[in-house]
Amino acid sequence: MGDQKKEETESSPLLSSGSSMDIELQGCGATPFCNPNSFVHRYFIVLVLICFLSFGSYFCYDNPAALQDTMINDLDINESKFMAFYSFYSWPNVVLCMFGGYLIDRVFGVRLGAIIFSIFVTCGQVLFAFGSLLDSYAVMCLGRFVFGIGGESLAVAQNTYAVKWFQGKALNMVFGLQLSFSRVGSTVNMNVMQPIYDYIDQSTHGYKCLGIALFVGAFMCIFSLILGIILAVLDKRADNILKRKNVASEEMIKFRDILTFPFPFWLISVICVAYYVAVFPFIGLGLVFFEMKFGLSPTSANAVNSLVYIVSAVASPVFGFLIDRSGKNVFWVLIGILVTLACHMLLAFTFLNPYIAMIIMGLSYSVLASALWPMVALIIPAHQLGTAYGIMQAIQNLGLAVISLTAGIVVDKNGYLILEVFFMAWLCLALIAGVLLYLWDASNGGKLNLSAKIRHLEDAKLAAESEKALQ
Amino acid sequence: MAIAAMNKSVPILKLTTLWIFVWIMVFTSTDALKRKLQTNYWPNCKDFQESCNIARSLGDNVVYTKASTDQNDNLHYVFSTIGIPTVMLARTTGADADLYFEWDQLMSNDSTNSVFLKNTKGVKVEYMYAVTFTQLIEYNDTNDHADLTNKELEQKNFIFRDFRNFFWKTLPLMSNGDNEIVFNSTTDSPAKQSNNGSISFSFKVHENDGRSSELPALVYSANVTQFDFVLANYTPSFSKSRFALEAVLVSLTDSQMSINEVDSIDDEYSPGVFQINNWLSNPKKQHISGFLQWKPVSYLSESRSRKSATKVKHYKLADISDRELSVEQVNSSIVLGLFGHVFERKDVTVKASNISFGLSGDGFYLENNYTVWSASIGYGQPPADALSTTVIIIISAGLGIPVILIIFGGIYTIFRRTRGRSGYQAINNGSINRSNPQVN
Repeated sequence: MGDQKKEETESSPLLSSGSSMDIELQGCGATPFCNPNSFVHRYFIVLVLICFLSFGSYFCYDNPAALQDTMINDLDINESKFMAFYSFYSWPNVVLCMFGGYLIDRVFGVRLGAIIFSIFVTCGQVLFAFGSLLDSYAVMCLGRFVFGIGGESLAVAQNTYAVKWFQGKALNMVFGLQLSFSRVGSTVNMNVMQPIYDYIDQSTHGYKCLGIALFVGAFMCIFSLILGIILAVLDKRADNILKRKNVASEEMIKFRDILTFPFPFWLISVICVAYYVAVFPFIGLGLVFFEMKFGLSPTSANAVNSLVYIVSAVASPVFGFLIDRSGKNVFWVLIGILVTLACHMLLAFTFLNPYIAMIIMGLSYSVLASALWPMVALIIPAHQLGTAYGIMQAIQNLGLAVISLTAGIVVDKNGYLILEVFFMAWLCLALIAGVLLYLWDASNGGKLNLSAKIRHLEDAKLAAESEKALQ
Repeated sequence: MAIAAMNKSVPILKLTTLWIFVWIMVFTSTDALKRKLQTNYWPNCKDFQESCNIARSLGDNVVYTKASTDQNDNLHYVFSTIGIPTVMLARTTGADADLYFEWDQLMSNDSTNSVFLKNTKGVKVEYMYAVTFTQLIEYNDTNDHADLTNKELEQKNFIFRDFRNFFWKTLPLMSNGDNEIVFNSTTDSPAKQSNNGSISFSFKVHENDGRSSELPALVYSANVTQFDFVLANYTPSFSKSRFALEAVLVSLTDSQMSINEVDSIDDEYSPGVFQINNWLSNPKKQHISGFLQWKPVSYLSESRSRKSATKVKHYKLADISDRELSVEQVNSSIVLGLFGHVFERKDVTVKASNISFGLSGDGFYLENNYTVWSASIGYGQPPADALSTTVIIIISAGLGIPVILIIFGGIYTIFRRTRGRSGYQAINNGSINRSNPQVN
């Protein structure tokens, strides 16, 4: 909240001097806080805004999980109707966030896109809460659907922003940080919603109480929406000051451009889906596995099961930072896949304490996530990035939705050993795609797997060349 | 490439162990034993009409199943609800023989030696043992620990229901031929506690090898009888009630009994269950030993699935010879008829354990008002699970194919590269040329 206030006061002189923006910066504009060229502005203001941009949506996404028992009681619904709150979010996004990304590239631009999708998120949550107030399950589902339209596309906008501000600087770290903020959002939600509900329960009861509690989530969305607007203003200003080139209309993406996305992009997408389906559906089914195979109590099983989330929240910015320093993204992706594969093997074929395997899995997931997503920005031109991230997210959503269902069937019919083998097979697929990516990259100039040193040199060279060309 | 090589070694190691496993399986699967089953309800009752009628009126059932081979290697099973639900098993060799039930004696105050072998010429009794269930324990699991030995439980949290006080429904006179025996009781006393619920033990004697079609899909052989214990629609006395069963093993050996917990990485037959428990009556000599085998899982609904699964917990084996009630309970059963006074015999070992159902967080018995637990009673070495060939094929394919792909892909690219390198050096200038047109 403090950041937000500071933002508002500090952007006011900027607005007054708006007419002479292309000339020298005056007043606050010249201080490191407001100068878009400055390190301080970029990391302490823009980065914070980017991270909090989707805080509201991550907070609200897991509202149902945080209030599961209460929801089932208050709304008098069964487990499968409850699970539908998640299906109404995820299934439409198998397709929709692809269009979301395309719309960012083609129609809205990232600024307007982020604001529009934030509005969707807010409206969705308001509908969801309103549905609960009216005790109308249908309105709640509609709310989750609208919320989903915004949520996933907002994530795409967030990625696009990150690339725009941090490419070539600390993109891996920023992606890692985004990841950990998403975890922070859902963790805060998990810990806060029930107390909030209990507090409201003192005066109002039942579904009305639930509705009011959900409105608290809506406030988080509004908070993120406000930050989105501020971010848009700052971004616009930076465009002017830094003379970031506008996307010429002939450069605009056409939908069939998707077909011309380079081969490594599809490899990255394959890795993305094959890797994520081996981690998250597993966590979804992990509780019983840890209880039964390793004899853990439900509480410790729960703790083990959430280790990947906790570890990645802490580790991914750190690893992102280190990968920024070292470069060699493809190498780190391969390491991430291999280590995760080893973790699954430990879990499947041994009785070794699962804490070890799950902590390592959390670490390897952090490495992979912070190395994988920024690679897209290296191979896709800026004006197509929204679409590219949208496609990746869509494929991932599809994979997660289908594989979660399949995994449930596999474990019921064949047990956890086969389930683990199933996940390992996916990791092997990711590994094959990773090796192919490595080979393709090696034979095509090795752009993806450059060490950070050489990458900076190349960037400097490019910059010098373009300067020369301008002269 | 170093990465690809690193990956190779791990799964290959795993695969070799798997293949070794396959061969072990191939060589250990010896000829399956087959037995002929013959079941008699109310055996020898024709000779003792009067006593048998009394027994029927009391719900004191007896079923006798003989599982025999051509070589006269016979297993004699006795299922009975006299006193408490009991299964006895005797193995005889040498010649054919039948158990005889002297009902007058059996229904008298001291039923010692009322069950014995007739025509014993050339017959050798190899081994005898019995499993009996003495009581149903209900406890108020106030802190949801699902543990009978939890220190926070007070005496008032427990209700012990002596199986002697249950009325077991009288069985039909004739065998229905499928060697399945069901003891069912809907009444327990004192009358105040009785309710509409039903408790039943259903036994199925097996004549050959196989695996139960229902979860937890225990393996059986011709030496095994499987049973289900079902506690259905029982009105619990507490809102947080859980149930447990006290089981007693009686073995005609002077031995240290033990409950072995065998862990397995493989849960393909019973998803989510990675352990099998074997209560061995004479672990040191498997050919004069019996077992009670179960997986630590029970189910909270009739349609058994991973979702309705909950845990089964057993406790340290206990000596019950100094517990008056337990001694009375065991001596009220048909065990007395075959074994005599087991607590006074030096050559007989008796041990007890509780078996409790539930896992903290499963919603207690009340959640579904249903619990079913399956186990096996048998002679000799308890059956063991092995990785199925399907699983081995899936593992080999799932991990093997990608590994092969990576190996061959690696070799191919190395090959291409080493061949390409000589050419690459030759057209070193060409590569610069190639980039030039792009700039221009």
